Amino acid sequence: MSSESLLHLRGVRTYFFDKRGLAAQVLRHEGGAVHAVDGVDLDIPRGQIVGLVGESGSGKTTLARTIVGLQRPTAGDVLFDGRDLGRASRAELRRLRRRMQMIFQEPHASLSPRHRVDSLLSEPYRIHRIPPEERSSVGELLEMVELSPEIASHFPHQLSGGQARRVGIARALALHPEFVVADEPTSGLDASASAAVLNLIKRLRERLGLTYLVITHDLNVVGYLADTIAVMYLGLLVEIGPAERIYASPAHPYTQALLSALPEPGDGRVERRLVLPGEIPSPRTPPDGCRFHTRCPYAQERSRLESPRLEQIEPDHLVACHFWREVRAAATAS
Amino acid sequence: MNEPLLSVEGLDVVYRTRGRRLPAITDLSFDVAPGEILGIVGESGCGKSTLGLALLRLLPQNGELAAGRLRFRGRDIAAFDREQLRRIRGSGIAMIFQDPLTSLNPTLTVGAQLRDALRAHDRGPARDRRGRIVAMLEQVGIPDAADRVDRYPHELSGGMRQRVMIAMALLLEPALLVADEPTSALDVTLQMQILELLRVLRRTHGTAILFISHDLGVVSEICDRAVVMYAGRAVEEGDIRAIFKEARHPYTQALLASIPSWRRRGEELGSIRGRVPSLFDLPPACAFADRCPHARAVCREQAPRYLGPAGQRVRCHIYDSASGYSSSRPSAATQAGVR
Repeated sequence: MSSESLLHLRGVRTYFFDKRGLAAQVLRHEGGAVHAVDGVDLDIPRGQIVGLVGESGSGKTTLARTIVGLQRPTAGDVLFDGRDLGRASRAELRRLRRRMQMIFQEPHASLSPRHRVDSLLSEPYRIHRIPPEERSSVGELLEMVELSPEIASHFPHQLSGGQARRVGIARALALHPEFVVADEPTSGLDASASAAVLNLIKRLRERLGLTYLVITHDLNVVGYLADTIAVMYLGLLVEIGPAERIYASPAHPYTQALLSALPEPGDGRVERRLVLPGEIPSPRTPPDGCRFHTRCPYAQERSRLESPRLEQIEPDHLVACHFWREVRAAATAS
Repeated sequence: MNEPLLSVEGLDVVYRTRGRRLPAITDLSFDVAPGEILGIVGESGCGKSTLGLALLRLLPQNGELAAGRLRFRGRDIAAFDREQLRRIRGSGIAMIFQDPLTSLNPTLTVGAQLRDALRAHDRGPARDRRGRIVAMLEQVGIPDAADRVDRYPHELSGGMRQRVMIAMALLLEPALLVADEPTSALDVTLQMQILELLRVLRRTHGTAILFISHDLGVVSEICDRAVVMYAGRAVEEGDIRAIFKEARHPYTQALLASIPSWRRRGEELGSIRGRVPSLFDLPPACAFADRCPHARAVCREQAPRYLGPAGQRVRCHIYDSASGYSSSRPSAATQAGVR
């Protein structure tokens, strides 16, 4: 595994402010801002698949949009291949953006219904004014995502969910990026179609040497795909580590709860279940101290007062929990 | 075995559309015992949601129960008149849907909607209703129920709305709850809460549940038995562990092989070639034959029968010794190779 970092996030925060503006916020003495991403440090080594897991409201999609530049961070730095995107010139930014692409969820919503597939696939070239000799043909792109060439003349509504998703992937690959962000790559697909998309994502990594950030709420998907897993809760990463370590021995109670939701057909799965009470709080008013304390079975006084920092508990494995030792001991005891 | 609570026999449901008849469900049979949780599993378009609507006789205008019987406590729902239907909906069979926002009335408070349900079935004196509603909301795990009862659906979170739906369905103490993808729109931790709630309800009230879902993982979590559907037909039924351990129908096997998990890292996931056939254009014999790695000539010539002891049937020529499968030629598709 190469340790050379392709993408590096340093203290990234992305807030959304109310339209009512600063005056109201100051007068009410509380930030009206939605703290969607609230201080994230993450390293994505070249050639790896990093899986970012979290529930709706965790900020994972905002983080993805911040990384590819669709959303400006309120604070912090996004470094791509050593270059700080916040300090890059317009021209440089344009060149860097070509190297990082996003596969959007809901392919039917992200493909213009009035364009045929061939036009959709050459659109990135028109936008980035790529000279013809540097373009891949539509046939090549379709072949790359294992679609037959006849698809080129179809409109998006003539495609199945799985085919539309592949067209979305082909479009992201048109500019020969090194880094691809895939947001919920299997959502809305039937079992068989989503298996095919996952196989494709893996094959493309081998074939094109891609680095991925895969964002999903589905732990089965990250468990299958990712080398490294990052778990996000209410704007913060609460655990990061190699996939095998996270699955074998999760150290954060939230990770534990998510993993215990995974069905393991046929064996005694009921005993391991950890059902969390309540729901994810609003990112407008995140709880003080540890953000997870309102739902955490291990929470103590300290959790309400002091926010835990990510600490390294074994090589490449970080967790933000005051009581990770107890959490782990409890998990292995049961 | 006990008398089944619900017994579906040879059900055909047809949609009339553009002058044609679309066979949404064909020859479907299964039983649900009192207190049992039966899963109905399949991909989109397999007919599982149509089944839920058919059971409550809520099919759209162009839908028709074309054949078969739907016996609930021994009486055929298909033959019910309006009044009999009204009485059975709610207190006999109740339904919860995938998306609570589209099933709750946005202009009425939670309490008002639940009160309507009680009033429609004339249960108990009017002055007790509010107390009973609040108690039911508490039972399904809604905190501050006395306050939330006066809220409108949009003021509640997704998880709370799904709980309101469940409370509404349970208010009349139905013997059978039909749950159509009840957790699909929810996050994992909320999904776990709702599944736990359904398990508790079955334990405390003995409610039987028909759990309709595309998610084999969730089905394995909560169901005792399951029926796997493909293109409007049941292809296999069985005890949930048996289905996961030794699925018999090639379609069930393929579905299971397609589920990703961390235990399968490094493996290629199974994917089924081709697409689910259009109901307008179903293969004449076995509906799965064009996608099946084991298909032989007989699979394209003759429809497979649904055979086996009740509760363990399978619809596949491989398991029908009289079908001539073993002596049949391998089909062209099989020879072409399977990925």
